[in-house]
Amino acid sequence: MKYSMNFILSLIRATQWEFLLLARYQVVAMSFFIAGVYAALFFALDLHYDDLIILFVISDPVMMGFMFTGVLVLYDKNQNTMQAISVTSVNHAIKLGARALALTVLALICSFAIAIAGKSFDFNFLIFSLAVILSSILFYYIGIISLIGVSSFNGFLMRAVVYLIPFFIPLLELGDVYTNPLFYLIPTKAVLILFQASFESASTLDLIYAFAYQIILIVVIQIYAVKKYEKGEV
Amino acid sequence: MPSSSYIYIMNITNYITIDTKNIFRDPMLTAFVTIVPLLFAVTIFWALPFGIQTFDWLTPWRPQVVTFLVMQSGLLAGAVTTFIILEEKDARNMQALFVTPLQPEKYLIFRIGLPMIYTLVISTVMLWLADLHFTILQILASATLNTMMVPLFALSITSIATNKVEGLTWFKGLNLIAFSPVASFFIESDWSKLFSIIPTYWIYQFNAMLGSDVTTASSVHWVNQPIAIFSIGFIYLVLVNLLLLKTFAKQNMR
Repeated sequence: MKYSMNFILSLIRATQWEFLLLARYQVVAMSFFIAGVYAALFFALDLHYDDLIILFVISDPVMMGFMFTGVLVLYDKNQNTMQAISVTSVNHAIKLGARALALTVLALICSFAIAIAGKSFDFNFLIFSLAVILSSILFYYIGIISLIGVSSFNGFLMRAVVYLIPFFIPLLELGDVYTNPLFYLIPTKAVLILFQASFESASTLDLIYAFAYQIILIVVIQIYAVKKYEKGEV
Repeated sequence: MPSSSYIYIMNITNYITIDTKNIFRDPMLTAFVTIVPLLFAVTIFWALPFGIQTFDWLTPWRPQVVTFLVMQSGLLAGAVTTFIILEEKDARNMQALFVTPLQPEKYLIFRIGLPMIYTLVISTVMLWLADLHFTILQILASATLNTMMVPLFALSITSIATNKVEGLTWFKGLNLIAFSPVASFFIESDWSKLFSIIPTYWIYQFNAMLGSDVTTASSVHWVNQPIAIFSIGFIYLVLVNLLLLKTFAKQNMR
């Protein structure tokens, strides 16, 4: 009990610190600016396309975790932050978890700004929040795995292109461009189902699949990512 | 005794040769140079016609869509250049470089020259594949404007950002700003001209004017000749790039 309390307190403190770092690197201000522009676009042009909202939310706030984890971890490496952390009581799981939480909080605020601008308050807040939280954490840890064997930021940029293309394929379902049952194998399909469920109804089976698939993937990828991070392979 | 211009050309050739070797030494950058153009070609040759067929309301906006796609090649090359420069800043390579006779302006010309040539080639091929019925001269003019986005992106971000994290942050913001002149095609009042302050406005206008069957609201108003749009855009981009070059040199002076 005492151990888990300490863990939670450490996680909260580390999350506050990560948020401060994001603010210092102007990530917070820029994210608000970008979300503000998208929101203004929906207001000004009076757009009410659910698919467009989902596309903007997935490609920006949700993917922010993926992109920024790469540059932040590589920056930590260059600044020898890992060595500094190893002499403190903060363990690697807390360090990575705190960053995931900070980026998720930011993604949540920005996603809500875009969704409210496009849908007013006419959507399911709970499912939408869960969709943002799960997808943001999932892509954050995928971002960490994508760093294996990468030492430069340009290397990460190239790796990101390779990783993101297959993840973006299920987004072809938006606007009914193309659909395929094999999309269920790609995590983005689960992400898509949750976002669509927050705007309109979805089948129970689809919802169970979307929640279960994302939670299982997060647990598996998180354990793997922390191991690799501890070994210094990312 | 070799002339100074001969030495200058030899220097440029040497730096480009060294940079080319560096690119092919790094598997990731090799992938960038080889795979990314293929992806762009596939997008413009197959995905674009498919997209326009699926969303037929996009048909009159084909030049703008092509401009957006072609611009991605310049932005990506600009991003890679930006992060190479920021990495060199972080590793303090620049301080070492600038104690040699190399001046900051020349360093940047060498550093940005190769991505610019790369972007010029890619943009030209993409515009040709896009089948917008441009003449070869018009394709080259449009590709030239697009190529100038490389230094614009690289110099503006490296002048503002102090590290790679900030670099990525600004990259995201500037990417959105670069895309924003598309809104000028939807605004029918004179307010749309406010977007002309953003350099990419001129590229969108130039391509839209040349390639659109339907005359868009913005293109009938102001300057009607594509040559005028190109000239204003070109001069504007050169001036902004020169200003950024000076700023960078000033910041990194010994």
